[in-house]
This record gives sequence, structure tokens and C-alpha cells, in this order.
Amino acid sequence: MQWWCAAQGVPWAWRWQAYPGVWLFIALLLGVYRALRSRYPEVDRPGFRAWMWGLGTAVLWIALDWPVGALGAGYLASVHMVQYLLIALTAPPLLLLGLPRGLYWALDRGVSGRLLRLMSHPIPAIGFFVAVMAWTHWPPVVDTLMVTQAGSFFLDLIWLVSGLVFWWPVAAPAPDRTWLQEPGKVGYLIVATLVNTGVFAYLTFSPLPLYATYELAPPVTGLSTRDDQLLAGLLMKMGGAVVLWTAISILFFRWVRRSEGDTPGRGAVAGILVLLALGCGERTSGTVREAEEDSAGQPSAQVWEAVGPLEFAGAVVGEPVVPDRAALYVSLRNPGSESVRITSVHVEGSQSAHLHETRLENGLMTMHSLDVLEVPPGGVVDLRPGGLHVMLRELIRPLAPGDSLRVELVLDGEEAGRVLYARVVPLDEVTGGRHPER
Amino acid sequence: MSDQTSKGYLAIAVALGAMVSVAACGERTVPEPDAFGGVPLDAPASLPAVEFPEMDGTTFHLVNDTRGHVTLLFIGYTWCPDICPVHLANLASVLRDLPLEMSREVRTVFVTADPARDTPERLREWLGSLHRDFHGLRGTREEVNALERALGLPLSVVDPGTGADDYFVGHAGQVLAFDREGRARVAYPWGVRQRDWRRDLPRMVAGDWPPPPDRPDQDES
Repeated sequence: MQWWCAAQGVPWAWRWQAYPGVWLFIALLLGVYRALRSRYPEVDRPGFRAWMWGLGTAVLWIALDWPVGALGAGYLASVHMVQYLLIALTAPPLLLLGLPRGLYWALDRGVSGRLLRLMSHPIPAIGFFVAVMAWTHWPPVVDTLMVTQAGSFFLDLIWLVSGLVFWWPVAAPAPDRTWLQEPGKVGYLIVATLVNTGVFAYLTFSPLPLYATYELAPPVTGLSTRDDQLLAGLLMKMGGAVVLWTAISILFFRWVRRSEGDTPGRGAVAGILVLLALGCGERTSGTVREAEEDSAGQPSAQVWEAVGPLEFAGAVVGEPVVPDRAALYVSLRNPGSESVRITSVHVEGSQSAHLHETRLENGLMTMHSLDVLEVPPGGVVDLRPGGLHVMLRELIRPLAPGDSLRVELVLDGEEAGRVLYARVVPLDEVTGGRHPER
Repeated sequence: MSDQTSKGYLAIAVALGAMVSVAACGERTVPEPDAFGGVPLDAPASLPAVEFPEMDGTTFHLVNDTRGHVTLLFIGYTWCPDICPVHLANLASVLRDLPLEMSREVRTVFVTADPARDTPERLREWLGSLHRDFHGLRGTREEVNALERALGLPLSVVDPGTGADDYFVGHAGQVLAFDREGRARVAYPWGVRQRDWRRDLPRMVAGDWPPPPDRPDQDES
């Protein structure tokens, strides 16, 4: 019995084989996710993220287990290419969309933080991806790795890693540190549709079989070795294009929607995009975003969300007027029977966030720093322009309307912050009395 | 940021450098141009002057019908699950791509080691799907063993297996290449690739055979 699919040189039979290593790997992915989600609770589209992780895991399972894994490892170059498309191109964006944002936030420190920021840059990301793609399709490497289970496992793993790195700038869970906005992501993926042309041409236009593994493999179908290789080359080009252009379409229309704003023309675009249900669903399935979009159109539609023992509503950050300064406004409600004290606030993208109160004293507007913000039992505290707010300083990058920022409220006696998300809005939406009604 | 950016570019440069150097190594691992993909044979075994019934109903004389041609001979069976079809398919694929004036100088002869199951119909169907010019010979088990003995090949054996129609045949895995005088010159074992055939076949046709292994200085004939 094999634990991982490798080339064995035995005649192919349509007889199911067990690959316990694959099962262990899949179980590990699910277990790790469960642990991550309990360690980093997610309020931003939790169900969507779980589904994405599940889908990504399912794609990996199909690619690695019998029969796709076994055929690709030792019999057909074309199936080997299908595996590549699934492992390196299809599963990684799904897995990345599934990661809780809290994980990224926790990793974004020290060495791992520097590595993440490097990965977020599109040029190292695509450079690594292309290097792995070229190296893992070079015949001596394939013929050496595929004959052992450890080698085959290594190949599958490095494919997955290269895919995660490649997709990171596009689908990273926390968008604040990525270098690309939608137009840049579209351009990045268009470049990516070109880079696999090298492997495609190498496989398609080679007059002789390149890989001993597949040339000398026991026959499975009537397909000749060279036709199999030709098919593999075409799959690299066409299959890669299908995956990448799907992502490009989603990004493009999301960009259109965002630049059009939330109200005008939105219905028209949405009507065209029935096929892009994935991208659209991503925008509307989350409760936080629903609340925000509702309140954007109708200030009175008030949706309260839980954040620890408190409830919050209408969390917004005004688009900064001066480059590195902005303010967070939110309404907080305490449904419990005990007073809740907030001792500090951290906001994603700001090195320094402090509770402030603006007071009018002797005709002067003055700012006072608060050490503690107390929400009495059954009471509501509004952070709104001209009164209480969270002052954000040392912004590490410009904020643009539509961005979603992670906010951590540290409660008295607690170490980890309670998480909510605030949306960046144009300044007039903040000062226009868009604070929540009671 | 710029520091990280430059690190990124450095990483790319290193990766590209590694790829280039790897590619350069790859060029060097291609065998020397005068090496053959098969094993040069020392003993001057010749095709014996025997006749076999051919799959089309005629008879095939191993000497008379190959005289003046380069001959490739393989002993196997059509129910062979892996080696026989792949080995012959790779050879057939290269023969099909050779210029006609070259490929018609080559006779490819398949002798079945399993005459019980390899009927003439079965041979025609199976060999025809590989290459329409392949010859399929079907003698008795004794005749096959005699041929193997004459050529210095291990004798094929029928492994009883589990049932009357479900058994394996053990047989030599190599294709023997004979020069135009009918002398065995190179053996191509299992594992030979299309690129080897592509390199060696034109040289066989041109009479450019490798010297026997123990007398490397001898002039080529």
C-alpha cells in the first residue's frame, strides 16, 4: 500500500486504492482550520470563509486522492497537469479566502510580518510562482520526484505553497497590507495568464516525449504518449486561463461596483452578473456588510452586532483629510446588567489609536484623552463627531472609502481585544449626522 | 518598504539565476552524440535461417525476408500488460516520424511467445494499432524457444497463473537490432526512450554501428 500517490510502474486498473497520507493531510487541513477559527473568531463573513476553506480542501482532496492523484503521479501527463491546475491554481485562492483575518493580524509582527509584507508584493510572489512552475515541469525533476512517495508528496506540497504565495497579493485575508487594489490585481492576473505560456510551449511543441515517467508508463487509454503530452500543454494554457479569467472577472466587476459607489447603477451591474454569484455573494453574505449597506441607503435602518458583552452599530472611519489622521465613530450598547469598561482601542492600519473627547470650554474646542470609556448597563454610548471618538494617528497607508478596518476593543481585565469591523466612508457621510438612531 | 522591495528583487534574481544554471546543467546531461541508447553486443549472434507463419497467412523467413535491411526483433505477447505495448509504441512512434526513405530500410519483427492466445486476428489487430508495417510471427512454443536460444536470449516461459485464459508469459524485454547482414549489434532494453530511437535509428540505417564493447578501437564496418 502507498500512503501518497507515486509512479509505481504497475498496470493501471480502475480499482480503488487507499492513500492514508492524503486522508491525513485533508484531515489536518480541516483540523487546523477548526483550531484557527476558535483561536481567531471571525465576525466578517464567517460562514462564507468556512465554505471557502471547505471548498479549497475538497479541491485538494480530488487532486491528491484516487483516481486523479494516482493517474497523475504515474500514468498520464495530462492528469498530472490537471493536478497542477487544481493544487497550485484553484485551491490556494479558496483557502486564502477562508482564513480568518485575525490570523493575519497575529502573524503581522516581527519576522513573519516582514515575510508577509514581502509576499504581498506582486513581483516576488509571481517570481516564486514562476520559478516553482518551471522547476517542477523540468523533466529530470519530474522523473526523479514522481517515482517515490516522498518526492511526489514534496512536489504536491511545493505546488500548493507556490500557489498560496502567488494568490496572496490577490486574496490575502487582510487587504490593508497588500500592494494592489482591484485594477492592480486584474493586471497582475493578466500577467499571470502569460507566464504559463513557457511551459505550455515546451510541452506542446516538443517533438518527443519529455518525461520518462509518462513515456514508459503502463498504458491507460488509447492516448499516445505524445498526444498525452500535447493535451497536458494545452491544459496548462486553457485550464490556467479559465481559472485566472474567472478571478479577473470577479475582481473587475467588484471594482466597477466599488467605483460606482453603492447606489447608482448597482442594480444594473448586478443584473449582468448572475454568473458571478461567487463574487457578489462574497459582498452580501456577511452580516457586517449588510448592516453597512443598509445604513448607507437608509440611516434609520439600524442593525446591532455583538462585540463581546456589548453591541455596536454604525462603525465608520471618516476618510482622512490630513494624511495620517482619522477618527473612528461607533455606537455602543450594553445589553447586560453590569457596566463594561473599555480601556484601549486598536485599529488596523494605525500605529496609535486613542479614546478622545472633544469639549467646548470657554469657547474653545479642546481635546481630552480618556483612559477608560464606560458603557453603563442598559446604556448606549455614541462616539460621534463633536463628542467622543477614537483618534487614529500614524496611519501606515492611505485609507479609501470602502475599505474595511479591523477594530479591537480591549475591555477592562481582558488581554485580547474584542473585534469589530469599521468601514471607511467619505467625510460628509460622517458629519452628515449618519450616526445611528436609537 | 524599499528595503523589502529590494529584497524581493534579490529573491527573484536568485531564483532566475538558479533556473538558468539548472537549465545549463540540463544541456550537459544530454548523452554524448556518439553514444547509443542501447547496449552494444559483443557476441556475433546472427538471425537463424528459419521460417515462421506470419499473421497475414504468409510465411516469413528470418534471413531471406530481412536481407539488406536493418532488423528490429522483439519477442513478447499481446496480452502483456505494460512493457510490450509501451516499448513497441515508442519505437513505432519514432518510426512513423522518420523520413520514408529511412523507415523503409527498417524491418520490425514481433514474435509472439504466447501462440495459444495470440491468434493471427489478435496479432493483426494489436500490431496494426501500433504500426501497420510491423510483422507479426506466430510459431510454436518450441520454435520460439529455439529462436531465443539461437539469439542468446533468456527462454520465455508461460506462467500458469490463475486460469486458462489468465496467465503471464515471462520473456526477454529487449528489442534486438540487427545490421544489414543479419548480425545482432545492439540490444535495447526496457526503459529506452523515444529520443534514443530518434538518435539511433538513422545511424543504424546509415551503417554507423557502435563498436563491440570489448574492442572499442576496432574499425566500424
